[in-house]
Amino acid sequence: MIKSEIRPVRRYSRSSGLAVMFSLPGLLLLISVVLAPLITGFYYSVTNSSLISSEPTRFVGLENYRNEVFTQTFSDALRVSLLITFFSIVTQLGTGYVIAKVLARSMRGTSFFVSVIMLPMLLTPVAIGMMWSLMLNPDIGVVKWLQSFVGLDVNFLATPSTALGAIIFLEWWGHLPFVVLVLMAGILNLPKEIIESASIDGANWWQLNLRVIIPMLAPVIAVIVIIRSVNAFRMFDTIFVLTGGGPGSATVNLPFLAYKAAFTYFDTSRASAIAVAIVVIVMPVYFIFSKMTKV
Amino acid sequence: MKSSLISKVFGYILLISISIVIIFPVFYTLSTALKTNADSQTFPPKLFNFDVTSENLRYLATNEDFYAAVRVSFLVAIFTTLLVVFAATPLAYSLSRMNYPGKKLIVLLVTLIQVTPAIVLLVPLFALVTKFGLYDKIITQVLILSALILPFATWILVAFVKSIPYELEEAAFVDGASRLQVIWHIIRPLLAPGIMTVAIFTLIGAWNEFLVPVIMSESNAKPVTVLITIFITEKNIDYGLLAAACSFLFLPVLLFTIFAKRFIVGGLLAGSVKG
Repeated sequence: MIKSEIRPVRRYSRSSGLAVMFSLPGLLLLISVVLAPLITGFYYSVTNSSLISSEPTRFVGLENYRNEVFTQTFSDALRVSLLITFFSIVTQLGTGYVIAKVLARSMRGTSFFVSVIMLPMLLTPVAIGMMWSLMLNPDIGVVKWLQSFVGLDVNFLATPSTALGAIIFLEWWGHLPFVVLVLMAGILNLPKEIIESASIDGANWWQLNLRVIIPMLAPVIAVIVIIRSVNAFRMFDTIFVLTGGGPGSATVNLPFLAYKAAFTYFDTSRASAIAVAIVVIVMPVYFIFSKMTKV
Repeated sequence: MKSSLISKVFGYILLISISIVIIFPVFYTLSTALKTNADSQTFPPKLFNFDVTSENLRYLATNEDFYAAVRVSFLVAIFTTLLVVFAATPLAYSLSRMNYPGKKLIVLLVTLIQVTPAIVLLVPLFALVTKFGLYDKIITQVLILSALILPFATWILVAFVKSIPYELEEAAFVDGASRLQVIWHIIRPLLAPGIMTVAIFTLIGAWNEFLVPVIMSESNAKPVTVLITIFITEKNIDYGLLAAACSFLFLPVLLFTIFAKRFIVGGLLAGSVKG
């Protein structure tokens, strides 16, 4: 009885001074690094400010959006972003599920394999990208050598579709651990009785997986898809060192497009227009996320 | 059971092949770091039968640019970790246990950074940073990285705070303890594993970061991740030096995988599949 009387009092009053103190460092960081640039970014996007021109800044309305956002270049970059996101997640879920199922059986040595599978997520992405660019070297790379065993000779980074494939492969490689570990935890948390009774009732392997286990994992898979989409969509390091957006602009995704506008051409206002457009594009994910992370 | 034996064999074959796909690039990096320049550029590549040399490691160990970059990497990683722990721990507690004006704004901003590619913030931030004379400074990278890592750290800690039964705090209140006493004597020790998890993820994240320093640094505050790109943009690629520098970047991560696996797996799950 006493409990329920005390709880609201302690929880919501008397503590607001302390609450302000507790949230202040975080809030200051968020205001200076998130809120301030978002507002100035929006302001830049409707002006002609640039880091290299000395023209006086003036309001230009939607001109930057016309020049940068409603263009073929932008929709190509959006397409690249979506392709990377879609294919890396689909392949991760497919391979990740099979690996997680095997790991969840806790055979001898599982713990060792978990350590190995964890590695890619922790290793420096830019260093991995660099080493892959050595391995994919068309003259002396390891990949060329491996191809010679199966009679192939493809220079992966030279054609648009294979270059994109290489990027997707590295995105798959780098974030497979996350998918495997989360799926494995999901599988281990499933009620054993349901799976057992389904197999006693004569469900075969396919039925067991497709009709029983995967539907029960749906919430976990949803979380994976959302978190992975956010990360795959913002991919940057690997593209920067492996393809530089090439060949042509075949692997330029939205973050790379914004980067090039801002730091190759030093056109702050145009880059800001791209940035604002990216915020608009990720908005639906924002709403899903804020539903997921209720405090 | 015959079928279980077959599936066991299949399981091991699968785990071993995926391990090869994962370990090969790491092995290639570490071995190239130990090759002579001639050996690393032969075709077909010498995977095992090369002469081991320490010339790349020795070159890096005596190179001033590399030293400077290592110093920056260390300082950024350590101070970012301190700042993230300092900001995220009380923030997570206040978000899960208190109600106050401005809470909605914090949740909004935290969620927004989590879904928005960092480049969106970095484009205008670059203009602001140069305007305020903060370009090419370690402190700038620390502040920006801390804010970018804050959401992830906060959600992990919120999950940890929520797993502490509120009754524990209530009992202490009833006994006459003040809020701060409760936090220091009850919450802090119970939250220690959560803080450890956040610290490890932040250390690794800041150590591995490339986008923020490549934009925000030029000469004084260039970390190893940015330095290594010069090995490849120059006309001839120095395979051995590049691989040696990459191996150096991998080193702390390999150590963490051995000694802190529990925290990494736990943190990953707390950050994604919490209730």
